[in-house]
Amino acid sequence: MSGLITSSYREFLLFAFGPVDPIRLKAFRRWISVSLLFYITDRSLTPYQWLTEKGFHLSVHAQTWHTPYPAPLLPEWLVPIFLLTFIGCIIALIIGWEVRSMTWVVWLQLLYISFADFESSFTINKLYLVSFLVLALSSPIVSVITNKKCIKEFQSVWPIRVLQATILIQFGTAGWCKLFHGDWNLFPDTLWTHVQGLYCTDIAAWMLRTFPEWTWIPFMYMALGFEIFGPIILLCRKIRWVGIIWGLCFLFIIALTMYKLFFFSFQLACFFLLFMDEKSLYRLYSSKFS
Amino acid sequence: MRISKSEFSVPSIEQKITSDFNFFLPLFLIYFAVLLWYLSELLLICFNDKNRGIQDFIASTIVIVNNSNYSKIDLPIGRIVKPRDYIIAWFFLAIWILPVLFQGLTKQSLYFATANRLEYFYYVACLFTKRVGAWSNFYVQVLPIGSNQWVTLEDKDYSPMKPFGHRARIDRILVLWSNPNFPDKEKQVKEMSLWLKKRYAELNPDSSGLEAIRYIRIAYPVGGYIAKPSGHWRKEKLETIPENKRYIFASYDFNDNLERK
Repeated sequence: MSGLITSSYREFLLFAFGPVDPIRLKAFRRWISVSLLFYITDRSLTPYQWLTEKGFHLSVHAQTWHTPYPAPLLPEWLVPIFLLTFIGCIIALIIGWEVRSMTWVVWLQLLYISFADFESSFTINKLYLVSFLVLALSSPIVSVITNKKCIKEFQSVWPIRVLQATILIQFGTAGWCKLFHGDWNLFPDTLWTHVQGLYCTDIAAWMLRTFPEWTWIPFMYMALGFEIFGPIILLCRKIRWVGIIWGLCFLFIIALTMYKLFFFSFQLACFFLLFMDEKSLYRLYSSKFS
Repeated sequence: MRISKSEFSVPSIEQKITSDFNFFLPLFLIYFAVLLWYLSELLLICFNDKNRGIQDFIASTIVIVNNSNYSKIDLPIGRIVKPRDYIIAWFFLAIWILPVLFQGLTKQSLYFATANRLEYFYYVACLFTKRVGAWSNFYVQVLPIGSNQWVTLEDKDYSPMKPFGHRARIDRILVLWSNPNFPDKEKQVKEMSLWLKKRYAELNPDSSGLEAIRYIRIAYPVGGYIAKPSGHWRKEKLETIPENKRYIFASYDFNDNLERK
């Protein structure tokens, strides 16, 4: 029995910390940076509203008790420098130049904008903060020469596990909140009421006009179903592809029907790369990452 | 001028809720039973004194089969995994994964997060959880000194940024004030009003200043006009909306620095 437990413990350590090919984390880094580039470019269209006193920012005295302590705003002359640095570092991450230091700079800038402008920071900021901190602290890549004189790269798997846990908790607790802190199980038209509001895109408006109200019910239960069962499906290797396709459809519909939630959907879609197997990723990206 | 809130309140969701059986509860009990089983397995492993911990693991070797070129590697784990990785991973478990899981499940803040005003960062999941009775648009009107005509401020001059959805950045604050129980409303109304006054003076240098400011909400019940929209969500001109549909939920008088009753 104790032998079994000891070997299970080794299995657990291998699962949580063992060596893996770094392709998954590299793919994730590249695509999460692409999604961040889209997001920051959108924010940069109104930079002075966002980062300077030209936009309204609540002082620490007037902020609600649960909001973070506000960081000081930038002087106007510093805004272009801040944004150029931000976008430049993100592009460096996409092309894979000075990855570690660029990740730290991007993370620090993300930290600043999340504290300086609470009014326009949302869940998307929090997920970027944790993702880039994990990437910044991830273990270094080690090259090993195999007995066939090939070089193979390895990295500890813990950053992938932390990010996987983050997204599974994100989806799982989103479903939980809708059921036990919300009312998705009491009304069949909750989603229909959401798409009518200030997130309504032209496509959502066309769908509202064209289709009867009940057509939103399958969409609603498919979304809820993914949030509840998606985390379990993604944990099972053999049916993981079902979870990935289901999840991508779910995020695609959100991006189409809810204005500016494209950024959030894109960000969440990047996390699915962490559940793909290494062979498929090599096939997708061939030698670009090696 | 002020319209009572009751005229605009849509039927509350609670009024419609009956004591339906929550059929998802058994499913979630099974779900968490499985999770707890896994956790108990882990606890057994942790309290078993036969294992000698992470040091043994780091000192061991793993055989990796590379299928692409039919090679095998005897890889010492210690070359890849350092004690640093072990510490950082547990750090993420403690400061990120467990708090996010706890706050997502209970919707209650952790003491250490509240004390540091950080619990906001741990709420990542409770989005779009409740049926919406009505959606709103917000407007700001100012009363210039010496005038008896309220002027509506344009979003493009004061808050052109739309962080998410078709709403201005400051609408995220205004929506909080619509809640009569919001605790910091008075302080926030004062700050925003003074800021808008300053901004108004910058944009209208010839103006002699402002006497008062008021914040208006127009509610659109779901299922009505907005259920068959001609296009994406839009903010109509306030002048086209009848006065009896305007709800003034906050106001500020610059003369006596008191909120206008």
